[in-house]
Amino acid sequence: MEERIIKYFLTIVFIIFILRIFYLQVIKFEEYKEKSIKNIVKEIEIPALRGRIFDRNGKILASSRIGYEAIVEDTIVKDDIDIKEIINLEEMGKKFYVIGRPYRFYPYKEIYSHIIGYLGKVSKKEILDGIYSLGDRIGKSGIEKTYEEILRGKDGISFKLVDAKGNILEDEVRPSILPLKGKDIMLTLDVFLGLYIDSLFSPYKKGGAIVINLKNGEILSIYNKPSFDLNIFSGKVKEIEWKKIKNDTLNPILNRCASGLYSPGSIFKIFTALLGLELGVIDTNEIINCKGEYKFGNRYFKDWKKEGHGPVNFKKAIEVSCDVYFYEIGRRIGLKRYLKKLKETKIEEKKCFDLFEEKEGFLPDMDFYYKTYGPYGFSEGNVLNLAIGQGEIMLTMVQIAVFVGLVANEGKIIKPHLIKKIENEEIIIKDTIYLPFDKKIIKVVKNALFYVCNGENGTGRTARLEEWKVAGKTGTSQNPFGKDHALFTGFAPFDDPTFLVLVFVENAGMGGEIAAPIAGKIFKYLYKRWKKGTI
Amino acid sequence: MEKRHNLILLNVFIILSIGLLTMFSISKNKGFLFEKHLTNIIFSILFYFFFLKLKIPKRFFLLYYFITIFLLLLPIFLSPFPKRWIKIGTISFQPSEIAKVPFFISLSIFLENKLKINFKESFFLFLLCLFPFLLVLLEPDLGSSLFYLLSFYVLILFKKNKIDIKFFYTLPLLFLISSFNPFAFSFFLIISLILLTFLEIKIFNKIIIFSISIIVGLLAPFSWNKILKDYQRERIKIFLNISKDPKGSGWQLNQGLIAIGSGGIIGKGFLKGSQKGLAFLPAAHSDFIFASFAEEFGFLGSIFLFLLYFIFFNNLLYIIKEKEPFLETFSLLTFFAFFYPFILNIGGEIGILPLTGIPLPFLSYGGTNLLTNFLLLSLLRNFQRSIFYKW
Repeated sequence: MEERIIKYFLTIVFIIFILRIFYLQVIKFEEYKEKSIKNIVKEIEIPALRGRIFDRNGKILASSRIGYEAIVEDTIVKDDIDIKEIINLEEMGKKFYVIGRPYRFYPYKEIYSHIIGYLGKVSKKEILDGIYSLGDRIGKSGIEKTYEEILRGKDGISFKLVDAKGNILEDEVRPSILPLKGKDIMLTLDVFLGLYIDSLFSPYKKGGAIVINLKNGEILSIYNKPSFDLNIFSGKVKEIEWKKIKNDTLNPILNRCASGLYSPGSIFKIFTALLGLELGVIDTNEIINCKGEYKFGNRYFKDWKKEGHGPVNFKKAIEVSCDVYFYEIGRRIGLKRYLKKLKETKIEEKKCFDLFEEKEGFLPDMDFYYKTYGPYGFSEGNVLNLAIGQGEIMLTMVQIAVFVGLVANEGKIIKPHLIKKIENEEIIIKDTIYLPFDKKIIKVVKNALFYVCNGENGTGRTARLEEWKVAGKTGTSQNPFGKDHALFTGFAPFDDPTFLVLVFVENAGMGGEIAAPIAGKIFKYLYKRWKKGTI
Repeated sequence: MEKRHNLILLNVFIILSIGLLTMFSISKNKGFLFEKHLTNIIFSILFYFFFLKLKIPKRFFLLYYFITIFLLLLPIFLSPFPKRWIKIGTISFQPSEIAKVPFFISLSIFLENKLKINFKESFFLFLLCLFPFLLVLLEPDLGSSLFYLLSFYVLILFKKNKIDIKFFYTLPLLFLISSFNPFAFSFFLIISLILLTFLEIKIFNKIIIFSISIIVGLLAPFSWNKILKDYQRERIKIFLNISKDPKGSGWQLNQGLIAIGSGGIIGKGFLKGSQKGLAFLPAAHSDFIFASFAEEFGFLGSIFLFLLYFIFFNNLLYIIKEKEPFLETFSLLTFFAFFYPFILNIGGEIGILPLTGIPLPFLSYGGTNLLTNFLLLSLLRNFQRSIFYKW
């Protein structure tokens, strides 16, 4: 028997065990202690209440409603459930815990949805960045996205005692870190105005309206039709409704005013007029005889009025929107000069301070013509189309509105914006946009715009008001896919321009017939509110 | 001599009390663990004293052997998977535990008249141990089954046997284990070549030993893929890298380590362990009893417990010193029957050996295990008396 070997072996085993135990319990003690605490204390997030969004009158555009979600092993199994569903889950004997989560609630549903925007679940990447946790909602569009950081607040944490299976044994092991509520935001939008415009648009399927306060750049309304109910995206996404929106051929998701590109139509004659005056190629008293068509080379360019307007001067040409007159001015300016000034005006740039997904417009330049038509494929004739706003120029409604606003305000306006207040702090935007034309020239054109609405033959007479001096310009935006879009942009009062209104109705026809009457009603509404001092 | 046995008994009672305390602490969530364990202890002590007076005939080793085999066959035929347990009425027990008793007696009788066994006898002994090994492996329980095979090695290595026989059985085993690592394999290859060259073994035997070792070493990867169960492979693999599988066996081990480590020097205090109380520690009353204890009583408590076991094993060694052939074999096997689970259980819990699920003698919950351990102690005392008093 070799007991001595056994004894050595025994001793070695004990020494190894004791060294290992020493390592675990003495050297590594702190590390394991921490692990053991982490083991039993589960950190459950308390979602922060998102800041509310108000309109300028203090009406709630977006607030929160309480919902619940059921969580099993760090995975959200049921989203946005009510008490009834919780009881159902319990009866099925599933192991889960429930946390309360505020979901967005939009009382005005479809009004201004594109501007307010919706929330979506955070992506994995956003969680990894550390600001968000599982199940949090994040602004995906509109104001909700632009002002995400201000609105979101900060999630809190509650510490609960759990066992190995994740069952909560005790509610609070140590005091919770309370969530911080997000900041409220007040927008410049006016919800009553939005509702009123919506009623005016009831006969039409597609279109929009923009109202801007020219004094301070506040956007009072960016109305889009068709629109969608924002509540569909709140909490559990309602699949059927979402599919309906997605498959709608009218494309309700599109923010037409900010992201849709349109040909500006006759409204662009304003630019041609400005440039013509600046270059001195026209005299306001010069009379051009309009016979309904204009011969250039061996091509005939038609006026919108077949029989022609007869002899027209500068003022009259704008009043009746005479195409022939502007063909002539366009020819005198010439393509190169026209395109050069066009570029300098920066008319196609994004104009707003905080408008989500505002698109840039498109302006052609010489390179564009070379590339598209080849060196001999285009001629001076192209400038004629540009001069009446029917060329390759594509702009958003916002850009058109701002352009007319610049003329109304004689060369500069404050950057249009949507933010008015954060919590109780007034936000004042001072950024200014300029129109690179001489003030005198702008005044001449602006005066002519008065007659569009007030002249005997003005195309925008339907926007005229007895009580208020309204000026503006009609437009008919050519649409290669169907009936033309009707357009009107105007401002009032003429002597001290305060409100700019743009109305467009897609596939409806002439601007003067369709868009101007709507604008007229909007002006009337604005006048009443303005008199009362509520806008 | 009787004093030594009383010391052992006293030692065992202290360990049992510690076990009971730990069981009581765990019982907070686990029902009647404490009461059942106490009943098991009383029952086992009664058996201890009953078997102390019993005259055990030291003949017919085959009879004892067949009892062993019969017991090991029971679970295979009687119970559904897993086959470690069988149930008779309301009592369930583990035959692979109790079978140790007749197995030890059988081997002790077999080796009684053989001071130094020859090769033929050693091979017969090998078969005697191999068969139970295979039967328990079928249950399937690798940890427990290895005990039977290793009993053979204990007898070959720790009794005074010829060096070539020792080599003949150990070298292939070393090659087998090391074959999973090319470096270890080459290392053993060189060491064995040197040893075989210089040791006084017949050339013929040297060649035989060496070639068998090589063959076994090369066959090992095959057996790894075909014989071991998935979960056994997984357990071994996980042991090698615990972080890969946080919710499986690796998770259990991790939770065990957290329990032990978070105990610190003085422990969290009686009834205050959070790991086992909140069910983070699986099998806190059996496989992870030491971790449960160490969490509450800390490093000092662990040292105290180790000291108790160290004294216990040393006391057993005194009995092994008796030069009576039967008692020598029996005491050696009994020592091994306590030492093997001690190493595997503690080693597993502290993360230096794979987890096997073998209970810690006298500390873990488990009726059959407790009864077997007491029977072994009782018979050891019984056999030593019989030599002394020449019954």
